[in-house]
Amino acid sequence: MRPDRVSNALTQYVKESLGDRYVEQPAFDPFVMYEEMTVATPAFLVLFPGVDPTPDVEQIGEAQNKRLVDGTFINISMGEGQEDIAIKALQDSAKTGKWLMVQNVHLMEDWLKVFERALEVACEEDPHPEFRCFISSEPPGGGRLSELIPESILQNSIKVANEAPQDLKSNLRRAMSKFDEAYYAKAPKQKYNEFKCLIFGLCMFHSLILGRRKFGSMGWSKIYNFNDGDLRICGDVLHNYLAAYEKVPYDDLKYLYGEIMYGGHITDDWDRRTNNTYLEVLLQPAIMQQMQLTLHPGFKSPDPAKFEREQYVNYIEEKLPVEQPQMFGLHPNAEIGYLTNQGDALFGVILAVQGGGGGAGGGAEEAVKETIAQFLATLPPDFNLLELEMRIEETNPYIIVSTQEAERMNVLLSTMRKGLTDLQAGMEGALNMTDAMEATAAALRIN
Amino acid sequence: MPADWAEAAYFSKKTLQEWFADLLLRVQQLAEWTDDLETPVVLWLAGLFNPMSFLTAIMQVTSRAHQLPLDDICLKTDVRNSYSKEDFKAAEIGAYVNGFFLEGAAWEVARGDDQGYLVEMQPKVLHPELPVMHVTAIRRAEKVTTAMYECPVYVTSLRGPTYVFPASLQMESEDVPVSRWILAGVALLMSPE
Repeated sequence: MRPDRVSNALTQYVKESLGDRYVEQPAFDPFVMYEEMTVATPAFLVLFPGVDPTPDVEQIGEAQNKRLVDGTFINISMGEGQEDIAIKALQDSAKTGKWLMVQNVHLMEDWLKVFERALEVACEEDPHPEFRCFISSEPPGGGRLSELIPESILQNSIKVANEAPQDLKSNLRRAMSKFDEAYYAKAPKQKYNEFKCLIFGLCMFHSLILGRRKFGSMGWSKIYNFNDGDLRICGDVLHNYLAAYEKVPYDDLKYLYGEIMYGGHITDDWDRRTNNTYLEVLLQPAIMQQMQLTLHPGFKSPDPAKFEREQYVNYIEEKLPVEQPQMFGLHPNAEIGYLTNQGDALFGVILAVQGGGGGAGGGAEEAVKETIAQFLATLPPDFNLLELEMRIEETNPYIIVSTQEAERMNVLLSTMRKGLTDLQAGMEGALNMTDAMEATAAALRIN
Repeated sequence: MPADWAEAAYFSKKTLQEWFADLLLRVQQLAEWTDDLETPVVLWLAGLFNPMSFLTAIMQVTSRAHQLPLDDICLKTDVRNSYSKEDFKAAEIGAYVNGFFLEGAAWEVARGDDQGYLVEMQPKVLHPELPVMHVTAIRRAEKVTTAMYECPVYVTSLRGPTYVFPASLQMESEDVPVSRWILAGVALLMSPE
């Protein structure tokens, strides 16, 4: 069995036995979401980097005569000082039948309880039938959504997670879309060629560091939320610096991008080195002379004298090679590693679900007993620390390390010995099974 | 693995049976070490709860021997040309250590006194083993950086929280841009998974 091929094979299997719609995500349709909503059923939109749900809501609002311009649709981005404004807007909207969109609620963990209650009250007190509420939040880093968002909000709402595709082409396309024709038109004329090259280089940088995330810990050792805001600010910095300096200040740009804008997210020094290296490789004078823009040949920086914004956009569609790890500077093995981890995680979940559900059948229980017996029979005795101390005539740093290691090993060995003997007694009925013993049994069963 | 065992143990991505076999090897090394109170000729560094404390001991011994403040000293890693413990005698300075696996690159073994260097990986060989490494401590000012890749060492492929120390690995020549190995995400792991 090749664990790295498991995800792929399972996808294939689900597709054949259940149908395409269980593996392929259809394009998000905001009107379908609206159909499912009611006065008391808000929409909960999960925010992903590079996706703004506002235009979707505006689109359905247009069809229902709820618009920002005449105040029948209220859009509030949460932050300090917005708490009371949002609650008042909620009460007003529920009474008069407006639409309310409350954005970025993940920033307001404490206030969410107040909002939860206000929403309940508003829905109970005879709300206007046209009232609708939209809530947006980033997924919490590492934790579960339910740890951040009050349960009743999550239970009562239609949850929409519309994650945009994260392949290099989609990322690059989206990055370029943040700098429109008007943005190009404002660029300093005397440095227009530099501007075109460097904006494209910046978009490439942004797309590469986003794409690197899919390689797991080999890509980045932590999860970073690099976002469109960072990209946009870096574009503005480029604007200003090109206008202010005679020569392109490459070092200043790299410093600001690598240590402040993007670097501000990074908390691991080795990740910072990786990020700065991408900047080092991409933002250099050779970008004006058709240098390679990916770490694998085949995608060059176009000649800015011949390219306008539109040509750059087409260039992405027509010339970006098929994505492969080498374009990020990684070896193809990196993909195998990532897929193997994905396969292992999948099996881990299956085993955990299986172990918890069925209760110990006769066979499983026997297997646990056997494992206990095997471990207890081979588990070495504790180190005799007293006797060890006595033998040491002259100590040195290496000997100190060995005694510290022996101390820690004793803690581990006795923890295991106690866990195993207790569980053995419990399974024979000599002791009451505690939660800790159940957990140990479950762990032994999974193995 | 039961939660209280994991708490008393060390970072590991092994399954329970593999983990148990690995534990027995750790106990065996530690038993030999504490029996004769001599550091093993080639220490399996990954077999320690706290590998960093052993590396710090190398720096302490050096700082005492040369009357240097600990802050002025750093570790130096030289990769030898053999994978086999039997090829080594007790190190005169520092220590020989093994149990390292490369991720993102492979290793070309050299001959004689020359040191090997980083090379492109073979397809589907994800974690090639590194030969025995000689770790010594030197003055910071003497640290060589040309044609060297500063390589993070982690306990497992989880990286992040399992970080231990920076090793220096030789590159084929000073013409190799260090960006090649940085962007390839090259690291040393103390276990092959």
